[in-house]
Amino acid sequence: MPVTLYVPTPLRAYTGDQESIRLEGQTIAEVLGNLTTQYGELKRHLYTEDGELRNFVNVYVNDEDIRYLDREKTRVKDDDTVSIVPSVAGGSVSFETANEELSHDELQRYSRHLIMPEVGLEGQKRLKTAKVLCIGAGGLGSPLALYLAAAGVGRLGLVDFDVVEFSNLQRQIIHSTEDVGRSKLGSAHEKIQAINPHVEVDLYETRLTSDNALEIFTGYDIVADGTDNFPTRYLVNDACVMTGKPNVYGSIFRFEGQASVFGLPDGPCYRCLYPEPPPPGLVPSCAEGGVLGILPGLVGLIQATEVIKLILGKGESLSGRLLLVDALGMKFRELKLRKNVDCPVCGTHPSIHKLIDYEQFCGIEPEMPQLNDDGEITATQLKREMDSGKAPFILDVRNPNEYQIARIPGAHLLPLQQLPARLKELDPSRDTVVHCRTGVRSAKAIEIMRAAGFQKLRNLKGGIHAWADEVDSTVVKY
Amino acid sequence: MLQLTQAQLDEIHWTATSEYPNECCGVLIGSVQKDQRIVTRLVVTQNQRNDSLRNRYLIDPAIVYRLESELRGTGKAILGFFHSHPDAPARPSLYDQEHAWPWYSYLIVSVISGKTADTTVWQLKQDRSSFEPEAFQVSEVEVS
Repeated sequence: MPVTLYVPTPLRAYTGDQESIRLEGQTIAEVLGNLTTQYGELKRHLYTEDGELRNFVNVYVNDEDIRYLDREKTRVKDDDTVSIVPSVAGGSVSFETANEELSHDELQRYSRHLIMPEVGLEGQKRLKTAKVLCIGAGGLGSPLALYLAAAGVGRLGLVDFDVVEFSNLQRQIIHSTEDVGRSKLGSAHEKIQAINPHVEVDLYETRLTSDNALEIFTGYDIVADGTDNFPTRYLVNDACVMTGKPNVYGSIFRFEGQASVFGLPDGPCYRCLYPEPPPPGLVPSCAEGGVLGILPGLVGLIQATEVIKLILGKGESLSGRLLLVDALGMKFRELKLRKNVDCPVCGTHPSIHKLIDYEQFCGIEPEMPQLNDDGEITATQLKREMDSGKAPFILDVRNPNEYQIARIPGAHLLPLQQLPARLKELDPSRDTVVHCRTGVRSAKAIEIMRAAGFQKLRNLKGGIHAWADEVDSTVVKY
Repeated sequence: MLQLTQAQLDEIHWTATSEYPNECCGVLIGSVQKDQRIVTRLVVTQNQRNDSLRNRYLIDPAIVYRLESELRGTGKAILGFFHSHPDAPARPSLYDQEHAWPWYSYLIVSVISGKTADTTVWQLKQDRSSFEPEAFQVSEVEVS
């Protein structure tokens, strides 16, 4: 089936000055194959040495970019017009390696890279020139930082303000048992230096906020997002778009993970995929829902791979694709993502020009305003009431598996998700204390119960964690 | 050799300084007469990375597609592109080279501290190995 292929001016020198050519083929791959068989010199300009279509070569079928169709597998029919369209990009700096030298030690260290055609000396120098910022030194940040350091990324920035806890060790492999109680950054810095002393490390022991994000991001080429919450994820996304940094994204939950690359010039951003955050509480965090320990390793290394590819300028990035990882079924699926022209940050007419209050955007209130002081009870007070014989009814709204780990004696378990359907099992006139792990889900439960006419409700401040701290240290904090 | 009028160059410079500290970009359109490339029209395009991008530019392929279709059969063509290098020299970066096409003229304006400095024009060598400088001439009025 012949189609008409339009050749852009710069390539006409190779097609005998023809502006359009009639070519046979069922798919774009076949049409382009026939084109380059006929005009051999075109191959070098359209394809990389590895036979991939160069990333600045766009192909349109009629008026549609094949990136949004089926890429090179896009089928064509009789009399379609196929156009090769130059994507024009450039810029003043990018991993300029002219002044970079590798020492004898570095040449030895990176020898397995140096003998690879896709890396080589030039690629290794690029890695050395590159500056990568990791947001979070936790589950995803651990493999990211360790492998990027080992691979020879010249400068690594780490943002985190947490302290290593026992519950981190099941997955945050940059931290060791002896690091518990120590700052995550101190611990991570030491491991990075041990793995590769050539790496320069910048430590930002602070919460990433709308006030500091742009300034921190400016000093880096690529940002790798290892955050575990929505406000920071949107903040990282918007700050990346505003500073023009690629955002290598990963997220994990239980057995499932996602990865993509956002914020490339022609690709979507996180907001193109999720314009609005989910309502607070709908998507549980890893702290609430748990996560398989190896999963951040799997997803974090997909992120690290994408970072390295961006630096080397090799391969096909995950930009425009959302990779879905299902570790239980061990399946990798892929969704096509499209840049949203109406996106409020990266669209044609953006409405958001500066960083906003992301806690508010995600519906997270600084304090639970619906609960005033007399709506709360401390763990110590609760214990006192229990001991005095006037014990309130204690409602535990956590999940059964959490209940198995730790519980308050006498508490009645009714998971938050089932609460609306099972309210009738509870006595609305009874003095009730509601608790969860730290007090967030129980506040939601109280909201639901108040709306249903329950009167005497109090939230256990700080949840079972506070109980463990104040009343019974044998109760496990998880 | 690329032929520009003073007015066209002024417009490129004006765009470069008004976009500073971000990069600006646009398309050079005109006709080819022997080894002369005469610019007859400029299209200033919004930097597709319409984030505050200081060191990258991208021209939407959809714009290039539209211009290519529009110019078909008119004797005019896209001759090349211009962009600015804020606080950096007016020579092509490695990134420029990797993303460049042969034949086109790449005009680069260096803008230092908000003021235009050098203006240079480049073409990619046929073997893609590097850029070579292309001469350009500025005339008071359009050469027809």
